[in-house]
Amino acid sequence: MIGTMNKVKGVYEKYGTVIVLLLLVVVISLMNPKFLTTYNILNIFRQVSINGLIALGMTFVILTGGIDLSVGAILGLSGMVLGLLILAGTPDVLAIIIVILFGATLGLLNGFLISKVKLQAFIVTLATMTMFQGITLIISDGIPAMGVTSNAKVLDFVSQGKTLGLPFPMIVFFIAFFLLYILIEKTVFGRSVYAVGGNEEVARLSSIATVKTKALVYVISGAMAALAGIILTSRLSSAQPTAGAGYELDAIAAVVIGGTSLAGGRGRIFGTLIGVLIIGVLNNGLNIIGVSSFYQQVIKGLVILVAVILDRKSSR
Amino acid sequence: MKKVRFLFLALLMLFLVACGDEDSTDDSTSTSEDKKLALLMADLGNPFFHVLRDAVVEQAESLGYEVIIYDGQNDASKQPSQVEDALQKGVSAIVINPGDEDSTANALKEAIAQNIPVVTVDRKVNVDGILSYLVTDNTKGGVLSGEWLANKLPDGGNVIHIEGVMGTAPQRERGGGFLSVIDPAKNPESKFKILDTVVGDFSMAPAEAAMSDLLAKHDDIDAVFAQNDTMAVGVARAIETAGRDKDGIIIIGFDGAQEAYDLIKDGKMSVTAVQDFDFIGKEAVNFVDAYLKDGKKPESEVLVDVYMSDSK
Repeated sequence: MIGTMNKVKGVYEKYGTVIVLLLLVVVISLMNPKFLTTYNILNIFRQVSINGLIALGMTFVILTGGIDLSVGAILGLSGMVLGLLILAGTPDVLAIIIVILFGATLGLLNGFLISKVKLQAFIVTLATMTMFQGITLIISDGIPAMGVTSNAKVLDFVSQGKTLGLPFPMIVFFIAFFLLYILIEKTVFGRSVYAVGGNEEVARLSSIATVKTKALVYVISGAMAALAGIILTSRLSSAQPTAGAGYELDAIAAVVIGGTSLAGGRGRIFGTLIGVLIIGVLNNGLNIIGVSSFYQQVIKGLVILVAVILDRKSSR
Repeated sequence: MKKVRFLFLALLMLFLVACGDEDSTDDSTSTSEDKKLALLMADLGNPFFHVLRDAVVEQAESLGYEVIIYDGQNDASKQPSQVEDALQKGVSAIVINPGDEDSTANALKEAIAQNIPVVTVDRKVNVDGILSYLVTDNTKGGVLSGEWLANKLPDGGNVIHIEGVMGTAPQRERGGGFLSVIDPAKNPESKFKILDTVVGDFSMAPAEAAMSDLLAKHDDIDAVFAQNDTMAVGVARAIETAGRDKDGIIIIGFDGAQEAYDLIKDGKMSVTAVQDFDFIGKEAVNFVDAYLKDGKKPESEVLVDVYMSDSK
């Protein structure tokens, strides 16, 4: 009996959030079978890819014990830069590469201020968030860049193309997940991310390049936010000057639901994948079963709380 | 460490000087005899409001006013200090597009006490002594949208309703007007059915996402009413992405924004309820000008007409 209990507990510890996700899927599809159509499943993956990419980068940051509030603003600014580059006649593949490097550079600015100048991550990224939002308004004059994908074949494919019957943003998300999974689980850099988040002083004494590690996670976060900005801009075929506002909160929620500790040092990128899916399934599912918007907010808050409480229990 | 700090301080000062420069050159081009008019905008991040700004500036400059523009950046709490700043600069009139109905009430009392005419546009401020309040007749726009749809589909149909930011006046009034015609619960003669109501927050990405979800849920959508054009563009994009453009879903927007006309031209959208910001902006300036010249007072509240349009 105790053996089985322990076994159940073991399964639960490993797959607690997966169970929450499966429960959500079962309940929602019982309430409306349209939830499990191929179109809708692909629709969910297409929609979660944006929050997903940001959350993957955010996982690295949070694992070091930091936070990146500027990701939504980086998404908005990168999307606008992409829109303006395309409308100015830049070939789309070149524009995409420039924008990803641009996002990485914005992340490097955060990383420099946090690791080298040794400022609090919260306040640095709060400040850069405000700046990046302002710069987006300056370069766009507050006007959206419209018709971005009209003459850009690659970008049009990013938004509406399919590979092996799967939406392209979904494929980008899973490739990013796979690469970042390898990076965090199988490389020296990945181990130093955990070490810095666990105990920075100990990490430094064991000759881990803490400054470099802490700076690099923001570079990754910035690049992923820019990639998400490219996908959102192509999806809407337009760059909106206020795009991305508040996206950081969904990303942080996904990471935390996935079991990564805000204190750093503990968590798994696989958990983030599940966290992203829980938020995506919830957003979509509540629309599919027709829950009114006021109740939607309450339910979303509740699910986040329940997931975090369950995770707290299982990790004790 | 000290060097870094110094560097940042130097950069900041340099930046302030660079940004400040523009203003001082602006000042030097205007003569000191110019009457000044302050224009306070709630959010210049929304491109549609640029029409309002441009109308005010054009009309005011033609009447010999220098216009000082403030942007509230979608944060109503910024506007009271902007009103104070304008009074400090000695403006003779204020045209304000308030971010909400209360934040600027106290600051505007001071202006009213100095007998400075204040006209609010698009939203009112709860304070006595405002010269006039000009606003789009949002309820009528909603009614017209509903009537347009009833005319287009005399036998009724299935409708999706995409709402703006919940609790705001345009959301309540546009939705209320539309539902008073289309919703069978409010109009027993309606042959329509409201399939679903979702919130798009007056912006494109949430509207696109919600519409993608609803396309998965329903295969019998006849029409979508989006409470502004930005959301209507998102809806059209979702339909296109889902490969459902052959369904012939009717999309109704609200505002009369350029991007709506572009989509209507391409056959991806049907119609938009136009609010005449150009007229509102010019009329607001005319009101303060007439008051300053002859002490003439306009109506305390002016509802500006809305009309349906499918081309600019």
